[in-house]
Amino acid sequence: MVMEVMIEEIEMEKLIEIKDLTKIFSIRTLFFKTKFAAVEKVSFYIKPAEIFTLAGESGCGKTTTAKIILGFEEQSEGEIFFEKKPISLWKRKRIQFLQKVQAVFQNPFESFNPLRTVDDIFFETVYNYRIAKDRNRVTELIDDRLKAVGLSFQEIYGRYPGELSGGQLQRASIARALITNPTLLVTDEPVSMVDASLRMSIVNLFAQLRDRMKLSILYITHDLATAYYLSNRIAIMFRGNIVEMGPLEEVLGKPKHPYTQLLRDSIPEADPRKKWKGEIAIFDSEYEEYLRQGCKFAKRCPVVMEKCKKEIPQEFLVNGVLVRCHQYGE
Amino acid sequence: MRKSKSLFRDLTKDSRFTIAFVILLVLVSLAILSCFSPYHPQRMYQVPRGRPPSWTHPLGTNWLGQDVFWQLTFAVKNSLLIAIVASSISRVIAILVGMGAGYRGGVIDRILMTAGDTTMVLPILVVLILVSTILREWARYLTNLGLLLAFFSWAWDARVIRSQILSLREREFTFVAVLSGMRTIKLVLKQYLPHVLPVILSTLINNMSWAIGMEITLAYLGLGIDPTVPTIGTMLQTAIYRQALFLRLWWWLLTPIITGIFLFIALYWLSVVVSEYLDPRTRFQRIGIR
Repeated sequence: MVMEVMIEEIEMEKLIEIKDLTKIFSIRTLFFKTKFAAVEKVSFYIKPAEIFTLAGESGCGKTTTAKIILGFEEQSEGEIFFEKKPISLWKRKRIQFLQKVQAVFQNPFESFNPLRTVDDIFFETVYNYRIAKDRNRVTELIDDRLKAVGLSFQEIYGRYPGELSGGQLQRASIARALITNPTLLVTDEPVSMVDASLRMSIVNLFAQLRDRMKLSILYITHDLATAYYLSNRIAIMFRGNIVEMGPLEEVLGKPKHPYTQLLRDSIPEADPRKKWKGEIAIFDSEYEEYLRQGCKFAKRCPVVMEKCKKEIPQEFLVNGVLVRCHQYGE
Repeated sequence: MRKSKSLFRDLTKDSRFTIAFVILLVLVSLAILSCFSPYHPQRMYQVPRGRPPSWTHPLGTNWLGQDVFWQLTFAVKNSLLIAIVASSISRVIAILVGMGAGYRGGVIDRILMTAGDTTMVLPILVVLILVSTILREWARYLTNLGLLLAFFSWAWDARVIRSQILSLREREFTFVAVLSGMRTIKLVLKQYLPHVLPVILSTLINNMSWAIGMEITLAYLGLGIDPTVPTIGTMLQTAIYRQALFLRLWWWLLTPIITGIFLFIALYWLSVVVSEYLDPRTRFQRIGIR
C-alpha cells in the first residue's frame, strides 16, 4: 500500500517522461544503406521546477533528442509522455503543446530571421497564441518578459538581429520563449556561443526562472562546468546512449562510468602545475563507434573487459545512479 | 523610403544600370503614350503610305498607311504586356511550387519537381510552334500567349526557389518561427519570402526578356498572336512579309529591330546589375576595385 502511494507520488512528479527513445538515421551511398542509431533507448524524466542536464560531446545525440521532444523530428521507436499524455496525442494539439514547451537554441544570430526585425517574432508569438490582443497590452507583456532577462522593449524595437550583440540576442531569445508561460524550456547549448561574462548571467537567469516561475529546464550542454553550477540531475550521453544518470553530486562528484570519468578529467583546472596529460584518445571515426557491437566505449575504455566487446551493457543502479557499464554487473 | 533611395543611388553608380534604366523609362513612356494615339492600331490607310520620317510622321509611314511611330508605341505596350503576364504568372507558379516543394518535402516535393522537370526537358520552341498552330484562335490574344509562355518558364525558377527554401528550412530561425506558433503558410510567406525575393526579382527580368524574344520568334514564323495587332514581333514580321527593304522603306524595318535590341540590352544589363548587386561576392569585388 505504502509502496503504491510512493510510486504514485513519483509518477505525479514527472512533467515529461521519455521512454526508450530511439532515432535511426540511414546513410545512403551508391549501393549500400547503413543504418545507425543516433539516439538509442534513451529514457529519462524531468520533474516540475527542475533543471535536468543532458551532457555529452558533440554528435552524441543530444540535439536529436531535443528535436524529437519539440516535434521537429519523428522518433523511430519509443514514446514521450508530456503531462502523462503520449506525444502522439499532443501532435493534434500542437499549438497547446508548444505553448507549454518552448525552446532556446545555440546560435543567437541564427535564432532570428536576419531580414526581419527582432520585435516581429515577439508580436507573432503573442498574437499566434492569442495571449493578448490590445496593442498596448501586448507591448507591456513583451516589455515585462524582456525586463526579466535584463533587456527592454525600447532596446529591440525596430532593430534587426545584426544590430544587436550576441548576448542581447540570446537573452531576447530566452525572453521570447517565456512569453507563453511555458512549463518546460528546452535549451540546446544556450551558452556555448556567448562569452564568459554573459554565460554566468544567463545561467543565473535559468536558476532564477526555476526558483521563481517553477519552470523546468532541459539543459543540453557539453560544458560540465555550467551544468555543475546549475542542474539538479544530470545524464551523460555517449554515442546515442545515456551512460550515466542521477543526482548531480553523485554523477560528477563520484563518476562511475569510465566515460564520465574521462569527461571530468578533461576539464582543465586553473592550476599551472597541473597539466593535461597526453593520454586522452580521440577516436577518429564517429560512425565506427556508432556501429559498434557491444559497449560503444569499449575501444577507448581503460578498464575494458572481453564482455564489453560483445554485449551491450544493461543499466545498473549504483547509489541512486543509473550506470550503463559491465563493471557494475554481477 | 530612405532605404530604397540609397539603394537606387548605389545602383546608379553602375553606368550600365543608368543606361538600362533610361532606356526602359523611354520605352515605358512610349507604351503610356499609346493611350493618346490619334490613330487606330489595326486600321490601314489612315495616312499617306510609304513616307520617310518627317515632322508630321517622326518615324515615317509604312506601306499599309500606318504611322510607324504610333505603331511602335502600341508594339512596345503589347510586347511589355506579354512579358509581364508571362513573367508574373510564371513567378507566382514558381513561388508556390518552389516553396511548397521545398518546405513540405517528401511525396509533394517529388510530384512537383517531376512535373517541373517534365516541362523543362520539352523542346520549348517546337512545342510552342505546335501549340500555337493547333490553338491558333486561342493563342491570338496577348494574355493567352503570355499564359502559354508562363507555362513553359516556371520550372527553372521553381527549382532555384526550392533549393533556397531547403537551406532556409534547416536554419534555427525556422524552428523559432514554429515555436512562435506560426502556421506553415504564414511562416513561408513571412520568414522565407524576404530571402528569396532577390532571386525572384533577377529571374523575373530574365524571364521578361525571354518572353519578348519568344514572342518575336513566334511572330517571325507567322505564329502566335494576331499579326494585325502590333507587337515588336508582328511589326518585324509585317515589315519583312511586305518586302519593306525592297520598297526602300528602311525606317519600317529598322524601327522594331532597333527597339528590340535596345529592349534586350536594357533588360540584360538590368538583370546583370541586379544579380551582381545581390551577390555579396561580386559586391565585395566592386568595393575592392574602388
